[in-house]
Amino acid sequence: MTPLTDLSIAAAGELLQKCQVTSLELVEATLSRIDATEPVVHAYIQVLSERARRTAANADREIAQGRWRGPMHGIPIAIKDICYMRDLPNEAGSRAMAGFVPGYDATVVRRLEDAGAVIVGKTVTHEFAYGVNTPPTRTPWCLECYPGGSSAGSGVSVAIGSAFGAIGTDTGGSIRIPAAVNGIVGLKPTYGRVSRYGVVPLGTSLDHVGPLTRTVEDNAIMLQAIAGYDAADGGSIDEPVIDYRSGLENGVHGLTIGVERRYFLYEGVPADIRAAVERVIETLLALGVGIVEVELPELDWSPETLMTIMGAEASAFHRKRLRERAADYDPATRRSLQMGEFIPATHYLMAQRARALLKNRMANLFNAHRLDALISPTSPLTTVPLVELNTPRADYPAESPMLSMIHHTFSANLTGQPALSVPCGLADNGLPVSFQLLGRPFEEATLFRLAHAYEREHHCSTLRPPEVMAR
Amino acid sequence: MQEAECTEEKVSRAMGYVKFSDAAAIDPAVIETLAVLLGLAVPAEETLPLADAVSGQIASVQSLENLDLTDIMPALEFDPRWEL
Repeated sequence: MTPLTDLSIAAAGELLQKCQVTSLELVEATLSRIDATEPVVHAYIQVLSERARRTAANADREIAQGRWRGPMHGIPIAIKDICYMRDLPNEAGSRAMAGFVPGYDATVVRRLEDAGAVIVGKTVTHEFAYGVNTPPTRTPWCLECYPGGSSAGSGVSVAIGSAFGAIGTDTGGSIRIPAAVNGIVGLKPTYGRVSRYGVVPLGTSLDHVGPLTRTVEDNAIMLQAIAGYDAADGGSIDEPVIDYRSGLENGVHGLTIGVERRYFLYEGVPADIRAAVERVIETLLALGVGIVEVELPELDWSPETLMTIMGAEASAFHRKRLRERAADYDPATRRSLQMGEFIPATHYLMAQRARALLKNRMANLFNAHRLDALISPTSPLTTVPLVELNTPRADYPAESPMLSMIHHTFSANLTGQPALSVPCGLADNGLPVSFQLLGRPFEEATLFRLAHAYEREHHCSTLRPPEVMAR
Repeated sequence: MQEAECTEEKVSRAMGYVKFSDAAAIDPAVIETLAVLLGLAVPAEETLPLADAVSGQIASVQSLENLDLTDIMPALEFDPRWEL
């Protein structure tokens, strides 16, 4: 029998609705899994056992009374520790925020709890989601390797079964990279689709909140719970929220995908990763998807543009704290934040103009070729040992592994378009490989359709890391 | 070309993000002065790495100088929609 913690959200939700399992059973199984794995992977900064048990008991009572709220009702999930939960510490991975207890819930937390989800804990993040320091979290696929970031704990908890789904944030790839490293599904929704209210900002014009799950369908379910306009977030956009699951079985015949080989399959992509993505393209082609070769030279500017914007925006947010509690920051984070203060306003504005140009060119590309999506590897590399993360790659010394890992993710933060990372097998080194689909704004449903069609053919959502248990 | 020029020091200097271009080095003394003006407390031992980081950042922006940004307004009130 499938262990409870290995169920998808969709499957567990169905069992809950039929009263064939209780939320309390799911929570107890999840807490046991946390006990067994946390000493090894350190995905959680805070486990909320008693709170979760109380919420689960309430969910069970409601479901038994016929008040089932939907597929998230009674499902144990995890929240990245930069999303506020009322009256619970929120430290964002930093001593500089130690002792901070918010008096309100982030909108994403409130919406998930309104949908009946049971939050079992808060997950480890790089300090302030900046991705400069190394968190204690380890990926179960390779314990000496980088777990992906900054939503490291969210990615690992879902991969190892200590949460059914998790919330992460993505300013330059921080949902998609840990999803790819840990062999799960991660969505950076369209900018403005999911509220950031109550979430510690990194780059205010680049920040996104989104779900990490083990299947595409689960991702659609979680997005359904959290999507929608929120006047409390100045970046929120009032666009209709459609039913993200309803089109999953519609097939993909007639959809069109663009392939930008020069940028996304550049020489820094090893042969096995390249081959894995080519196989995805072949699969989609066989399913009736049109494949178009495209060129978008403006992608080349993504790293410089994003780093300039993010550097300035992050430093603006931290300006006061950096002067009051500088010693409490990790030295690498502090240096990045200080560096951001030296970015001239003229450079920031030039980067925002370059970004506008990229967005325009992306729109033109999609419209000219009638594209529904662009495809790429999520990351040109699988994860690497931590000691190699910031040293030149042996096979491509022009980049460090860290620089390679963010090569493909930055552009979607700049354009604001949705980007979905989906596992597509294992590389020659036995570590997960994922592909990324970039879509039209607010067309997450199309990405889910494409990814679900692929997933049904190849069952990559059944990939599981090697078992790691505490001794 | 890049292979020969890429060193661990440069990678470290770029803090894993900025491309490995030859940044025009900024004198740490300049950073010290600017830090005072900005009200930033930068310990002496961190002045050099910060100078390197700032040099890398500024050098990376040079690539944007070549773009034709005529009539392109900065995305200050950002909206991802393509057709409003």
